[in-house]
Amino acid sequence: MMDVMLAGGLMRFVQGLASAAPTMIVGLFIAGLLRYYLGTAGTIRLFGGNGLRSLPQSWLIGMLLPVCSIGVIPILREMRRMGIRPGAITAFALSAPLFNPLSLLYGLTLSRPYVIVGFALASLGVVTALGIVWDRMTSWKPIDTSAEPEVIGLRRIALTFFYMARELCGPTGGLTVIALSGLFLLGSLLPHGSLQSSVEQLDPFAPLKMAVVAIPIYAPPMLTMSQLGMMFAHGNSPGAAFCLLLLGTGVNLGTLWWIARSYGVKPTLIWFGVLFSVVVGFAYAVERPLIPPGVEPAGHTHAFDVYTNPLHSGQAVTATIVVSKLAESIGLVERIGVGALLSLAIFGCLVRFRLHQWIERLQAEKIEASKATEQSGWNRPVSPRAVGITCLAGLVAFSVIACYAYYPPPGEVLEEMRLARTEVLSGAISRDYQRVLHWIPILEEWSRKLEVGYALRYFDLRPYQQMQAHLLRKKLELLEHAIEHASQANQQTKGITASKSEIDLDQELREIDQLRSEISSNAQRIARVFR
Amino acid sequence: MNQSQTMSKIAFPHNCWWAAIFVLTVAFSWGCVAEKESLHEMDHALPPHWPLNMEDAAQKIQQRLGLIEIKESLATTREELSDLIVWAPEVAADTDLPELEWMPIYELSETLRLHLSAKDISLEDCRDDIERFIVLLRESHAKLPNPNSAEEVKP
Repeated sequence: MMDVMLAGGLMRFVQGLASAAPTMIVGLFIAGLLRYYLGTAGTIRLFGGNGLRSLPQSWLIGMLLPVCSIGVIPILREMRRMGIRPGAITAFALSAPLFNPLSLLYGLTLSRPYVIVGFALASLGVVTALGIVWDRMTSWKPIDTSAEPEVIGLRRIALTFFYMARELCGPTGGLTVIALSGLFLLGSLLPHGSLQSSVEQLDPFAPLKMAVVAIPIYAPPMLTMSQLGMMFAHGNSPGAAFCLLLLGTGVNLGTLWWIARSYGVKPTLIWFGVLFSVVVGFAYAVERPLIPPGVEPAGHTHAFDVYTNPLHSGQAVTATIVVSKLAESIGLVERIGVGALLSLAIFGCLVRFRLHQWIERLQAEKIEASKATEQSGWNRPVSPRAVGITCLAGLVAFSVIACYAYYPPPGEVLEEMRLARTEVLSGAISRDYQRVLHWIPILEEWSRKLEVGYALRYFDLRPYQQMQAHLLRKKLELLEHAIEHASQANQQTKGITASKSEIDLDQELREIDQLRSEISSNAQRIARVFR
Repeated sequence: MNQSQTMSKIAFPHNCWWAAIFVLTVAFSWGCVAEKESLHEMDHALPPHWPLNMEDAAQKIQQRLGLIEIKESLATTREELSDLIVWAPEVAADTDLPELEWMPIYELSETLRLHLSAKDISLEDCRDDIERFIVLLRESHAKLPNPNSAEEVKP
């Protein structure tokens, strides 16, 4: 029992780290840009100055930057160091992980678009109200920026890199461990699949239960979006979905720890109490109006399986099982991210314990030394602010390009879908159910990318196209259940209830064949309407 | 920049009782949640009035409209009528009906859905539109290659 709990918790921790790795690197990079390129004055201006405008502006910048609730931590630390208004810091802290261009586009395919746009606007309302409260509760004064050291050229690039490494092997790394410990805790304590029927539509406690579970959760924006999609598809509670978005994606234990450490435990408790109350209150208010029409509640959801123990109780725990389960759940991008993060962390240890004196000397050298090598022609000095703004604009541009890369043209997606569908259907014919279960989520994912990719390029997505993609996902889900039932019935045919299980198995096999034929018919229609 | 600025350190709050309370709450809730043992309770159970095909949808809508006409309607009959109107486009899309012929079904369904959910028009005032919807579903069903096969569409 204990080994299942510990191994399950550890697996969730590692999976969380893998999900966070890419956006953590982006967060460290942005923090480095703010520190060495934009500088204090530029950063304060970027986040809307010291007035009330800073709250919506911080929200907007948060929406544009591709970071998660862990990736946001080094940026928050830097913002605080620069003396930015606390309300703006929390507004950014809450909004940046909620949406980014990729997840927003993905979200628009999940339910009726007004729901996601409504969630985004509601988050603006929450962060603005909370920012005003937070500003009143905390003492704050702008800092003097005149004494900032200024470096340029290659030295500045090197310092940015050293800063990223040192932060990772320091406060940001520590806060990341605290953030991910929430996943460890839930993965250890919640038995496998135990949250599947906790957030049913019109369950009076669903938003509240979700809000409590969401506090220790760390969820990257894309994961949350897919969870919201599953919740809408299964007719779960929309209020619970809102709680998951704001409290699960927006904050984690690391962020809370940092806020408590920086501003005091009591103000943080009040702040979090206000946040919790506003979010839960809003969730109850939208519970009925946002119920998607025509969706029959499925009575369960798999959206939160990722927060419960991945292992069944009583299951034998071996290193091979743990490694193979981790390998299945961690994709190529995450593996590259983890590799880069580990390399940076190792270098960070070196910087922190061996090279710090050298780095401080490098930092202390005056700008005059750099100016001495100033040349004419293309090699002209550019202000740090211009470079910083160019880098941030580049990041936003990169996000837009990433949208097109992540959501390829329909022709390419249809080809990928054809390959995945072949695996699903051939697996179903040959009764190779492990293969089918592996490829079903991949095909589902491509069906969403097909919709977003089409909408991005043609600025249109017809109801018939949406309906066909919806039908495919519905049939895939039914197939997944039929296969799980068939596997279960197949095992029981060897037991004492053999005759009943044989009938069940026969029924499930017939359903699988029927669904197989329906998915084939749907494939032709999808290919026709998306080409 | 001096050492104290560059070498930020993590200092943990001394008053971490709130974290302890949270851990204890989750730990005590261990007994309240159980592992899912049966996969069958996760079935997507189809409601009994889910239509098999467009003809079936038309028939079921007409049946419920009749019940409402003779004042035998219960709240559930009205709900089922709304459900059937909302589900009909999905049932129609799961056939070989071309997109151009599917669109009128979808548009009429959406119009009716909006009125029925907003309750801005009474069901009596929607009657003509609902009857038109029934005719549309029957006509569309008749255009399909094998309209008599009950197995043609399985939800």
